[in-house]
Amino acid sequence: MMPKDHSLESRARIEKDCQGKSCRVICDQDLLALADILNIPLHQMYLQSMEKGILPLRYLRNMPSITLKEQIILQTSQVAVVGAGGLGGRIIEGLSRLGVGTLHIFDPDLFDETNLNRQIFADQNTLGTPKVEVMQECCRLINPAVRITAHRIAVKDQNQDALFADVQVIVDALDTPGDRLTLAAIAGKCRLPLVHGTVAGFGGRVMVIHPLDGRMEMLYGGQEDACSAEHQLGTPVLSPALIASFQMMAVLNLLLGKNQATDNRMIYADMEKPSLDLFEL
Amino acid sequence: MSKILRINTREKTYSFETPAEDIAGLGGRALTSRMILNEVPATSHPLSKNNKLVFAPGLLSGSPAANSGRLSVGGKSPLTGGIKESNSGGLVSQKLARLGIKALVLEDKPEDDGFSMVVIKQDSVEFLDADEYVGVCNGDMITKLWDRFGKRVATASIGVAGEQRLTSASIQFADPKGHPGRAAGRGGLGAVMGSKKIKAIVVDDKGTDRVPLHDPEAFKAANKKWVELLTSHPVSGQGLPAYGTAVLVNVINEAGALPTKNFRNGRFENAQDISGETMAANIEKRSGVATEGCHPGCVIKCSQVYNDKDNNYLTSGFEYETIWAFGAHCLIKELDDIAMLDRLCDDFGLDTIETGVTMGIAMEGGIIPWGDGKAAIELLKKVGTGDPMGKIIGNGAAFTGQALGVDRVPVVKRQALPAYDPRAVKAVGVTYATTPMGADHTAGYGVCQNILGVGGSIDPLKKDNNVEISKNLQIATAAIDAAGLCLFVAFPVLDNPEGLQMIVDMINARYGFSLVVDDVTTLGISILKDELEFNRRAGFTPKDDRLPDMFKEPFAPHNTTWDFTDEELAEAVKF
Amino acid sequence: MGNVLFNAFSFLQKKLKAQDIPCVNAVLDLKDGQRVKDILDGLGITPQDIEGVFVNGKIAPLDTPLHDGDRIAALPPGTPGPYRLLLGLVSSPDKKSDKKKDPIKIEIRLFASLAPYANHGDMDSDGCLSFKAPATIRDAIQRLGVPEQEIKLVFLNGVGASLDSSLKDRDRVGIFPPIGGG
Repeated sequence: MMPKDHSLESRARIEKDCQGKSCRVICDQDLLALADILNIPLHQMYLQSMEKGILPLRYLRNMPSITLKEQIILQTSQVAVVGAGGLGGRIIEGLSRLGVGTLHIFDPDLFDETNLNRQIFADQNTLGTPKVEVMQECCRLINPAVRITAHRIAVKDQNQDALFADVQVIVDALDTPGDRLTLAAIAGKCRLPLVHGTVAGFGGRVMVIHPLDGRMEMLYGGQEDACSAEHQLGTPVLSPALIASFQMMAVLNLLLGKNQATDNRMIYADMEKPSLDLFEL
Repeated sequence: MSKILRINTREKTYSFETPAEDIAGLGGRALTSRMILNEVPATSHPLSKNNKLVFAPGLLSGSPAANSGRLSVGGKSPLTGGIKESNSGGLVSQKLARLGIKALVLEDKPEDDGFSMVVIKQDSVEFLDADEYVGVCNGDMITKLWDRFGKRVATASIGVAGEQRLTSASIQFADPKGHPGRAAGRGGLGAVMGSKKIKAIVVDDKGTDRVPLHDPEAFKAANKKWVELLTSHPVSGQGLPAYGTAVLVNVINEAGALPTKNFRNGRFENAQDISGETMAANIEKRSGVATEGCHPGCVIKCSQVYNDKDNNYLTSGFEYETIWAFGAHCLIKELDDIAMLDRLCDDFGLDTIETGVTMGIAMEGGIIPWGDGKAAIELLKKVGTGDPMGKIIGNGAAFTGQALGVDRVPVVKRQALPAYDPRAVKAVGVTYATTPMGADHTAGYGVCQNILGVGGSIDPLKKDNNVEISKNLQIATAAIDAAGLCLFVAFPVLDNPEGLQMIVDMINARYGFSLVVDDVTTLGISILKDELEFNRRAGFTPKDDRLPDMFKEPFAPHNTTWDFTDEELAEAVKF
Repeated sequence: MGNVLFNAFSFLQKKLKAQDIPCVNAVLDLKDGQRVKDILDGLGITPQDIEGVFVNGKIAPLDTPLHDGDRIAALPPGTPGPYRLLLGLVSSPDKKSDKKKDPIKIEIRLFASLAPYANHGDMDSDGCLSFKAPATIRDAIQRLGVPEQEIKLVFLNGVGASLDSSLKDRDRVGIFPPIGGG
């Protein structure tokens, strides 16, 4: 039977969250249908629903680590992820699941065989296809409320800062020192925080770089690739998976204005030892 | 309460002023650097009316403390363009202190060309005409002034170099015997005095009482220990009195650090001929004086009277630096020629380090042959005649190097390097590069091990630790300069953990302060900060803290190079 | 067999000259296996007479073995200059009075591709290295054989530092190579 009432409230139902508290939820099917009937873009439907206190069912298991209020903030946030490889792919997938409403993703490359050891979305079917295009499509299926703009380009020039005009946070998921320095310069120009991450062997680091704080130069200034650790140790899947997660946490801290956002220490995680340390640079 | 005596050299007037609160507790270099920072616009031309010349005794000067009679002279240096403190022995410091004068400041400059002299007594400050003394060398100047104003008045004078405002010009001071051997040498402060048309300053403390002591008993007790410390230490008690600083010639040569032929390598074939041992032997043979102090109350007595082969007075205060600069640097091996060159510098009023290095540049430029002492003497005499060549030589190594098209000019901030090669004694090299004074060895001297926790085995040929050492030495040296103490007290203090406490005790007993040993570090740092700030305002940047590229060449015998980066050197001046 | 060039300075020169012992650019015979101390003994110079001995231009211990063509010089106490410290004279290796030699123990962690250097025999099971004070971080990495050009970041007790930083007991050092994987 078709409900005559085209309202969110009429489609909502009660659900108990992880803590046993009741909350109103609504399933994707209903949200899609309403969006269609009311001729509203889906992401706006999500927003309206959450603003009325009705949680899209997909986010139920985020509660209460991410509250409804915070979920709303995420829906209206814009993040750029530069690099869609080992780190970038997982961050894009993760931010989609988290519900960060607008993503700009950048990578000029196609999936190749050597990506199979670690890069999400790299599989036999996607070899030879542009990474950002694969991701845009896959993430649309994961969370249609997230709008992804795929830029199949390399970010190599400070004058590309216009591409980041509406963005609130930039994620560094690159793998070349020179490109990272350029990205830091762009972030400086745009006055945006830059979530840096990098891996080698079974470890890696994450650090939030603030505009013009000079810390990317400390990490990569004057560096010669030759003795860089990832060339000596390789990059198996564990480390991008871990470090990407730390980068996502940093993005959440920044978007949600959490206290932790003021801590700009470097996190270094070594899964093999295992150890997790904080360093002040 | 001590006062500041300000002399306006244009109006020929003077005034006494109570010191402002922020300088009331300062003396010596602490005072001169603070006053120059506060009162001289850092971009002034050093020879203009806006520069000032500050003569300041140290905190302990005038007291019975042994070795406390040193004087600091400060101003903007015509040579480096930065702040300068030049330190000297002589009689001025103690007499100013006894007259209750905390600092004597020469300000402004006359519009006409007439020279004057300033005579300071207990009851008067007079300006007298000094045109009759223009062209008189410092040695004769002292004789005339003692004849006119009484024996053993303190004198400070400039020679023809200062009259011509040459940038190597020094201010020379009478020693207790009336010889002109003591100098505020480095940085051309004699030119500043000459720009203000002051030929001489006479200080007569006749009629004054002893300097008042807040706690005479405590002072006496601390000074007793202090004297014991200075006289019992092998360096200050035996080595320096016997051989003076010249004993270093053989030692530094042995270490392969004696810069020879314009810093080409570290051993001089004829080092023995110009060594302190040879000097001492000549003194003995020629009835000179091997052991004498440069100011009353000095117990170290590192100075000497060196006679010529006819047993006539040739020179005093014959230092290692001078012997090196005219000797190994120029390949001159006749010690008597070097002594004559030292004497000419005293008389003309020239910094011996700068002039000696310049002489080597003149050889490099083909004006005179390498190793020719007699030719060097003739060339130096031209400074005395106003000859254009003399003006070139008298303006220092950088100026001469440029005039002659020489590409090896060992200077930092346009001041010539002293007698230790930076590639073989790296901590000194760091000091040369980073001290606000320009290439200067005394800026980073002495007291470090026990006081500032630097010690153990230091390798002079490697970079490790040397930046930290230089920094700590610079701090400690600045503090000693503020107390009016002779730098050579550093040796006994280096080896005795109570030495610094004795100095602090004496300062407290003199003034009724309650200083502790840590205050020495704080004072030293604040002096350096003042100096660095002045230089920053004057336009100096970290690029000026570099040694010339010639030091990147390997230096025999150890074949080390100067390999500090700008970033590493910057650590020495980070506080 | 061979020769060494010998010099004595300052008071020692005076003393030896008075005894007609050659001490200015003197060429002395060197027997196999002789050390500095042996030469000095042969000249009647006791350890109390000297503050330091140069061997080929560097201050060296008295038990340094000598070779043909070496150059040695003996220095009595009383040399001025900060050069006493800077040339290594002040803490003469034969003096027992050196108080600053208390050992210090530091924890040193080598990350990523530098981790293998921690397998050095001198490292104890807690990842600590023992030193005679004073020491710098550079001393530590040199001890472990870590080439400087492989080091990008240095931390001391969790804060960015440099290889020249001095160490004290129980300091924690972290050393990183360049890392750039993504």
